[in-house]
Amino acid sequence: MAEYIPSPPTTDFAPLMRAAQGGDRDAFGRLASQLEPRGRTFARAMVGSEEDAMELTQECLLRMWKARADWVEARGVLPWFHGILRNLCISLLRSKERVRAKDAFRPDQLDEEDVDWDYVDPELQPPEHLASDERARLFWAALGKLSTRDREILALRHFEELAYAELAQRLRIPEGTVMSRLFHARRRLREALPRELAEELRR
Amino acid sequence: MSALQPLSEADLMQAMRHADGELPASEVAEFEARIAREPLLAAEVAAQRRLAVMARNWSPRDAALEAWEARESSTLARVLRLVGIVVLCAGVVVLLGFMHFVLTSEYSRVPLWMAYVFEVALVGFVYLLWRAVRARLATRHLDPYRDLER
Repeated sequence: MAEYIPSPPTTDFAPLMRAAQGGDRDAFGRLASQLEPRGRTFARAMVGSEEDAMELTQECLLRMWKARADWVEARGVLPWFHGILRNLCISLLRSKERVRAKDAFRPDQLDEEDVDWDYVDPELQPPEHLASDERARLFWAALGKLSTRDREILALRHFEELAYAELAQRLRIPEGTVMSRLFHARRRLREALPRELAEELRR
Repeated sequence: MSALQPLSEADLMQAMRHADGELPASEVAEFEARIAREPLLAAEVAAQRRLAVMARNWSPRDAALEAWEARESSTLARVLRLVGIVVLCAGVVVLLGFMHFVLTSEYSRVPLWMAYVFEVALVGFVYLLWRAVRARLATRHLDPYRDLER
């Protein structure tokens, strides 16, 4: 297996967003073309369907363009993008009754962003370009057994390859919480892996 | 700590941070010395790295598609695409002219009326294509994704 080299930190998107806020469509186009693959990757891990992921990412970018006047630089572009996309993913999953609130969810007392959701249909297929890879299928099936919160942080860390500081900014939580959440999510993923993949990790 | 003593949660957390390249520089040397002494810790770091490689290999990101899109969106690729369209249009015009010349020349074995039918059909096809393009341009403002350039 290839050696693991962590990715460098991501680009600063604020200049493009500032230009877009001033009405520069080209700047927003460039921003959208950089955010789109990230969004698709994240949404694919959350909702499990390529088509839905693409639709949700486009919808998210459209909402960003329409609400560009409301963007505040201190908030960052990626956290804003991620917040909108995450809510769209959860809304879609809820509308299709594919998630249920983990533990006791009381909508009157909890901020929806803090709620963790369990998937009702844990069967999660690998992306199309990996459809014939049996080990990829097993990996995605294990990922499908996790809650939305675990899947979210694992997708951001492992698929988008964000650093801890970026994760903290994106999820609006302290870095210590990022480490703890990531640690437990990974432990649960490792527990969910079938024996052949778990053994590969120990080799 | 003994080399084979089970790892604490703090050790496991540090192993994860080290594998992710997130351990502060001041702690790296000391932690690597521990890895050299403690096989269980070394195995845990290796397992964390293998998990990261697995996830990277099986990510929804289609590396080939992304590379293709990056190539296609470069300025050079756009210029070459434009040149290609211009050359194609010029070729079609020359071909039509040549076809007209051949079909209507005195040496042509195709009856003149057939030559004109053929040319009228071709002009009809080009006209319908142009109408489709115009309709798309006219309704573009209704496209919800018009503001997004991929």
